[in-house]
Amino acid sequence: MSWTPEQLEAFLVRRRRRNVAIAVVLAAMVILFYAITIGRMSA
Amino acid sequence: MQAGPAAADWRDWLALLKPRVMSLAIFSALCGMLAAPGSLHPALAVVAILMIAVGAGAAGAFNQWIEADLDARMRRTASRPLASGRIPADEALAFAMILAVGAVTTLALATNLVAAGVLALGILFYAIVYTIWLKPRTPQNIVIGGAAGAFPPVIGWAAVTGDVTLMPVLLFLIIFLWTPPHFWALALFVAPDYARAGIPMLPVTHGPFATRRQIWRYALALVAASLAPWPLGLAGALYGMVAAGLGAAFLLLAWRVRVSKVTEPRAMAEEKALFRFSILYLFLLFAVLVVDAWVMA
Repeated sequence: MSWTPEQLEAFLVRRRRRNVAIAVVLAAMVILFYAITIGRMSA
Repeated sequence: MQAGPAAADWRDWLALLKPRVMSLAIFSALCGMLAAPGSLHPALAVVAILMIAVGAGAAGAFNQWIEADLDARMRRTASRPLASGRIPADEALAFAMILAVGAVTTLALATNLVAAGVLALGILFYAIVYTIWLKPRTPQNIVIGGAAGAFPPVIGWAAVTGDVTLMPVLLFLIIFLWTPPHFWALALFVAPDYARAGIPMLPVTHGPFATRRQIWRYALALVAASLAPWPLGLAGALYGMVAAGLGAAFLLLAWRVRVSKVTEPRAMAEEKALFRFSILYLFLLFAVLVVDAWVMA
């Protein structure tokens, strides 16, 4: 399967956006579970 | 892997969650949480509200996944991300399932199993009982739909107390009884849109006069339910007096709708007035409930 340069560029942009989204979700989950742990320990 | 032209961006994924519905869920859950006796660590309270919002969003995503074909046929909803094809159906379903399971699990970890269980029940109720089963089949759809929207204050309350007592049941009942007059007032003046879409809303199937009678009956039941916490000793005089004033205004507007003879949707001023006031009514009623709970405490 061969892509045109425009298709390849669009794919790379989408992959970059997905990677950023996954990083943001993982960071948010770290913060979320940290908050739950702190809250549970203080309760 | 394909490099398709219509890639969804973050706004499409957010739209999939129905943010306006989420905002009502956040507000009513927060009120349930603040009115409940007891306290919750602020970090856990923030997580709980966030998970209730995510759970409501997941229910909205399930709803759009189920109704994608119908949405594509209606002008008002044709541009939704699923209906327009910007988000593939299988990705939307996976997104909704991950959010639903994640929200219920995280709420259980942050608060308790009762709150998480009611959240799971609310999501399933909205997606299956309302969207799949009742909405396309009966003009009473909005009555049952009201139950789906009435779960958040119960979840908020349960997150703090760990149980579901009479007061959260009354909060559930207030939203449940508020939904029909609120949506039927709207449905009266947008009935032609619903008729074109083939949705069996009450004004379409039974006409404006039968709908107005139903609005009046539900308004009476709503005001009775909203006043109940006061004589039952679950709320104070501040709440009782404000609820009585708001209820009198609601009944006045509902009565004007009841006796209206207008059949042209664009001329339905009384219905539009009731619809606008009903939003303010619910907001003020829940707000004063919280203030009253703090005063009583």
